Amino acid sequence: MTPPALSELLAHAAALPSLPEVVSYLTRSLNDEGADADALAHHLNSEPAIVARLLAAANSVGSGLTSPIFSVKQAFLVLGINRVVSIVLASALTYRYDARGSGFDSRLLWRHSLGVAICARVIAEQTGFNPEMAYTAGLLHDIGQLLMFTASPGLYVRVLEVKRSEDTTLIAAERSLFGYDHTAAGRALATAWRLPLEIGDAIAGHHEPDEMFSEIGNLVHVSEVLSHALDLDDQPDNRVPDVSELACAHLGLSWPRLAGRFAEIEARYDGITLALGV
Amino acid sequence: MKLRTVCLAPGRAAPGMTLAAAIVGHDGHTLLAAGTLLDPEMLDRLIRRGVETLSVALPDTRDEETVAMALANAESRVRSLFRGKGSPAREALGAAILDYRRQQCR
Repeated sequence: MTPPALSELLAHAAALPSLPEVVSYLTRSLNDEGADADALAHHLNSEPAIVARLLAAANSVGSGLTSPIFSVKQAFLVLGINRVVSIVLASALTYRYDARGSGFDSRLLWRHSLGVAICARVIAEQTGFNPEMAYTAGLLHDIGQLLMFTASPGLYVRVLEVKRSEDTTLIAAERSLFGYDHTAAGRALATAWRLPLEIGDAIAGHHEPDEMFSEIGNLVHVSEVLSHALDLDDQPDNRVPDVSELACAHLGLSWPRLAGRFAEIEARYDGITLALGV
Repeated sequence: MKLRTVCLAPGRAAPGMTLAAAIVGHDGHTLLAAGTLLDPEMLDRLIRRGVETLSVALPDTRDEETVAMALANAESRVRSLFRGKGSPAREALGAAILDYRRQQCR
């Protein structure tokens, strides 16, 4: 199997579902302090599939509701901005992209992305970074994996087998078989989709933040390490990747201080996977 | 009776549980005080307000053997997660996680 060159990858992006208008609106509004819930609800109402998922999620947050949620505005209050963003992005990307049974489980990737997003939000709150931007960057940090799988499914499944059998990192397995990794693929996709620059930086810098100084790259890097350390997606072969000393120092991160929020991260993760049914 | 504090998503909480810590809304106001006995209406209200987590005090009915087994399993899992070498920052994270898991089991 010959891997597609990085420059050829984007030709395969057409096979990925396009981002609906509401996703463009959401990612643009992350940097806009004036963005409000009413405007977002208006955009959401134009996407029936997303509305259906939002209502389903709002009514699935637990058994404590005494009457059903029936409007986008109510669902928005119940779910909050982070869960709304998660559902919208999942509807646009992974729900339409069911690769289960092919050796690549997009649901598993989505669970991992949710874990990283929750860690990113909490670390952002501790370190003074924009929590909503951090959350969305966490959700999208591994989007390059979807693109690589779309471009060459057989070879990408082989990457996952090599990672498992050699107990090596995903990045190392990708580079040995493709010649590049999902951070480069993801960055190219983020640029093609005109996502905010910060999201592209987070995607590109989350594995090797010392190679490319970016505050959000540092933040998503440590968030991914923390999600593995808290074992959020509970994978049997889970191993905590190495963490950059420099990234921790730049963020002013102290693990013992953050430890006071570990239980909250786990409960938030449980709540969102419960609501989203993943 | 011995109690243990557990952090939960509101959807996992049940009427009859006691809040271990106050729930504070986005505007800084206390929604429910520590020690409140949760009822169905309160849980409904918390979910509708988008509260994501709450801490409850649960009766700890586990015997010593069960606690010791949970502790041994948790420590073994953390050692497996942190297998291989890494930076001092990774070691510091490993220590923080181990400490957290031990507190969680006790």
